[in-house]
Amino acid sequence: MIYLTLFITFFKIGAFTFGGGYAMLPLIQNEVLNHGWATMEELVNFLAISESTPGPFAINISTYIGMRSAGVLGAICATSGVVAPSFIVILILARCYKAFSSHWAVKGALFGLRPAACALVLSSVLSVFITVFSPFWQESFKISPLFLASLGIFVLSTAGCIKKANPILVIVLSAAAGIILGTAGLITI
Amino acid sequence: MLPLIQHEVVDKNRYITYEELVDMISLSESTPGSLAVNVATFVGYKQYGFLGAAAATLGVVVPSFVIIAVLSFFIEAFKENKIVSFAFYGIRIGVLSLIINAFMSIYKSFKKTPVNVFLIVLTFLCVAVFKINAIIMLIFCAAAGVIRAFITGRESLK
Repeated sequence: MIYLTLFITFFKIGAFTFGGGYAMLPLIQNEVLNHGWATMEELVNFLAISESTPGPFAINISTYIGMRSAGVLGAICATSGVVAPSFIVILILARCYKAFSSHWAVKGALFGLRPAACALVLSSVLSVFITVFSPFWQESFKISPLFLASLGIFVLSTAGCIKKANPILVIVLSAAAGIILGTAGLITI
Repeated sequence: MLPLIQHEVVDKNRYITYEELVDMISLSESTPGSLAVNVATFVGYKQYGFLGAAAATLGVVVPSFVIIAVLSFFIEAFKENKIVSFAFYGIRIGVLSLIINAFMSIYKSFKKTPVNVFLIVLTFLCVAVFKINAIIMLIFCAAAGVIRAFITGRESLK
């Protein structure tokens, strides 16, 4: 029953979404790759699409994966699954959120969740890095023109991000760079 | 996103007070889900109970749902297109930079106490190297935080 699987999988992801989209990637990666719903390259492509469209990453990715694997009904199941945990939690806490937020155990948990979220973003960095650069290591590593060009794009876009460039501008420019490399015959697909 | 929420929910419609919005922002940190969804559920509940919460949450989800549902057709249709593939080759590199940048701003945002650094290194090694489920590490770190708070005393958190 794909619809139930989608709902439960994204409910699980939704229940452990702390610290935003990039911290969710290891969770999503684990579930989505294991179910064969998308490849890592497709997930990274979708990160860029989600960055350029409105709405939080959690909702965007669940709609996309649901849509791909089981059409509109699949998208509805996955999206309601990802939203349900926070919906239920806020309903329960709506009357007592002050006591909840200021409780010592909640503050303590948050103290541990922040470094955890930070580490999850770092593991996203590693897995996206591997996705982008591992093709160059597949047999024996040789410095190819494509590798140098990719490294150049990487250095420039990272510098742009540090200088607080708009994320969409970074995406558009790196897309343009990809098209230039491709039409120059450097990318083999 | 926050200025927009504040404008619509506090200033224009007066669904909740500014103080309640600030409380929601801190509550959002310690509950799952994104701020927009959490605020929508809370505001809806305060206005019309469960039905209000359901309506407001649906409202905040529908725009991105529709956009992505429509876009997913185009993503599939252009999957085999060479130019699109070339563009995504470059885009994946750009996304790597965006995530590195996100990591740096999160890393800068909290104190590098020995416990924090230990939890970061441990979680990273477990998830990225030993392929332990991220959910287990989130539970572990939250529990470690609670135990730490219990040992060091509740006053240290104030």
